[in-house]
Amino acid sequence: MSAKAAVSILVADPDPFSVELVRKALQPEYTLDVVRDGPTALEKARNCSPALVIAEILLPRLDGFQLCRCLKEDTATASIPILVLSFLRAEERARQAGADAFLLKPLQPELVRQTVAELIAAGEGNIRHEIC
Amino acid sequence: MERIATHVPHLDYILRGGLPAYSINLITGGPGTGKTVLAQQFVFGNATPQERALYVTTLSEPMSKVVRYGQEFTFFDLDKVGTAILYEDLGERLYEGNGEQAVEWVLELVAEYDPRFLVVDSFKAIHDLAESPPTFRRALYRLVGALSARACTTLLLGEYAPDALAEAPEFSVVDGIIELVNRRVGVVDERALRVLKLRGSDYHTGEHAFAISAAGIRVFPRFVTPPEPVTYAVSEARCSTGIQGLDELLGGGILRGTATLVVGEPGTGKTVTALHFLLQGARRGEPGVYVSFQEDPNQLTQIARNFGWDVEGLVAQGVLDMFYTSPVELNIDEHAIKINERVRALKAQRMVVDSISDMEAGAIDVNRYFNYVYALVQRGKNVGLTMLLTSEISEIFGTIILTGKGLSHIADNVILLRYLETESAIRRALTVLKARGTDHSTEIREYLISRAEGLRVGTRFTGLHSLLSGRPLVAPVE
Repeated sequence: MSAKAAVSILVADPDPFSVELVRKALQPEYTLDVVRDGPTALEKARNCSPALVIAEILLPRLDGFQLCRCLKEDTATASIPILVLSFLRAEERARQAGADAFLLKPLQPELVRQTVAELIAAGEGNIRHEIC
Repeated sequence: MERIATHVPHLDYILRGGLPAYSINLITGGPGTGKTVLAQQFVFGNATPQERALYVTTLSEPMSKVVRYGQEFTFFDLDKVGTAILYEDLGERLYEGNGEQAVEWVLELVAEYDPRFLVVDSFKAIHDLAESPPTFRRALYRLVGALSARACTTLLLGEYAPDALAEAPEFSVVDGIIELVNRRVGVVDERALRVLKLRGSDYHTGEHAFAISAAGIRVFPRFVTPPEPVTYAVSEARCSTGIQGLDELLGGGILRGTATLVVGEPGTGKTVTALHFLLQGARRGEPGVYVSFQEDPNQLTQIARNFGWDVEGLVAQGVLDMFYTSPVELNIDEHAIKINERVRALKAQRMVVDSISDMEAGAIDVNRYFNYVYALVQRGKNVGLTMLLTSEISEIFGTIILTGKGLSHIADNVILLRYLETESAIRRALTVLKARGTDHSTEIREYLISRAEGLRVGTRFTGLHSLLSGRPLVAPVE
C-alpha cells in the first residue's frame, strides 16, 4: 500500500453516480469512506479525523453548509480541509460556511484529483495515516 | 376552506384561490410539460424554515437534475435549500427496492421531517416499480391516509398516459388533478393546463394556456366573457374620432365606453382611421393602447409620420402605447392578459385592435374567435374603454356580408369603408351602418385620404346610386 492509499478521505454524498466518479478520480491513491447523510458524516469526521472531507451540499438531515460549519466550529475537526462538490452554484456560501475549495458538478475527475492533492498537501501536518 | 397559493401566476385564479390546504394533488403530463417547474415554484414560494417542504426525487427525476436545472429559474432561492426545502433522493434505494417499499420510505421521511409541503417527483416511477396492482393499491391507500392526517399539502408528479386516468388508482384517491400538455399546432408548440379534479372546490374548467420562462410557469386563463353582466355606467358623453366630418355622421362622436367596428377592404384606410381615433384621444389626455398585428410600432410610427403625426412623442409622454404581436405567434389568452396589463399600466381610456381578423389565426376555431372578441369587448367596456376594432373584408367591388362571423353585433357602432369604381377611377365611400342608441346619419359619403389632413369625410355622392354594390350606376336624370 502506498503512503497515499493510507490517507483517508471522507466522502459525504447521497448521489451514487457522483460517488462513483469520485472513486474513479481518487482510487486507488486514496482510501475513501463514503456516507450519504450529514449526521453520519459529522460523526465519522469526529471519530476518524480524515485527511479531507468531500461533501455535497444536498445532504439529508444536515446539509453541506451546516456540516462545514459544524466541522469548523469543533476544535477536533476544525483543521480538516473540506472540499464541497455540488450541483448547486453556491461557492460563496460554501466558503462562508467553512469550505476550503468548491467544485461544481458535473465532476471533472482530473480537477477533483488535482484539488484533493492540493488540499491534502496544504494540510499535511494534520494527516493521520489511519483508516477508521 | 383554507387555500395554499401555488405561486404560479394566474393558476390560483383557475383554482379559485389556490390549492386546498392539506390536499393531495396529482400533477400529470408528458415529458417536458413543466411538472417539475410547477412543483419547484410551489415549494420555493411556500416553504420557510418554520414550514418546510420535503422534495423527494425518485428515478425519472434524479435530484441532480431537479436541482441543477431548478437553479436556472429566478424563483430558486439558495437560502431556502437545506433550511426551508429539504431534498431527498430515493433513486439509489429504488434500484433494489420496489414501489411498495418506496411508498413506505416516503412515509418514513414524512414522519422524520414533518413537512408542510411534500413533492414526490416522480410518483409514476414508484407506481411503475410496484410488485403488483393490489399491493401497490394498498400502499397507496396507506400513503393517502397517512398524509391526509397531517397538515401537509402534497404534489405527486407523474408522466401518466391519457388512459391512465381510468386505470391508475392515484387518480381516484387524490384530491386534485392538474394536467399539463404540450402539443404541436402547425409549426408552433402550445402549452396548456387543465384542472381535472379539485375536491371540495369549484375551478375554472377547460384548457388554459401557459408559458415557461426564466421566471417559471405563468398561466394565461382562457379568456372568457365576464360571468357577471357588464357593470359599466352607460355614458351619454361622446368622444371625437379626430376625423373631420365623421363625428357629425355619428351624431356628435362616439359614445364613450362603446366598441366601434371599422370594416373595410385592404387599403381603404382602416389603420389611418384607427390612428386618428387613438391620437386624437392621446393629444387630449385620454391615454390609448394600439394593439396591432400586421404593422409593428416602427411601421405605424412611419405611417403616422407621413401624415405629420408624432407617435413617438405621445409614447414618450406616456399617453400612447403601441403593442405589437406577430399574428403567427399569437396565443389569444396570453395576449388578452398582456392587453389588460397595458391598459391598466397606461390607465387607458381608448383602445384600438388592428385588426380583429388577425386574432382568428390564434383562436383555433371560429367559435373560439367569436367568443374571444366578444369577451375582449365586454371586458373593455367593464373598465370604461372606448374601443375601435378594425376588420378586413376581402371582397372588393362586390356584395359584402358583415354578419357572416357574427362580429357586427359585437360592436355598438359599425363603420363601412369601401371602394367604388366610377368612370375608370377608384373612389372611396364611408357609411355609418350602425351606431347603437344614436340617431346617426345614413348617408354614403365620399372620403379622401391626404398627407395634409389624413382621412377627411366629404360630401354625398351625387348622380350615382347602388353605391354599396361597389359598382354604382349613374342615376337617371329626371
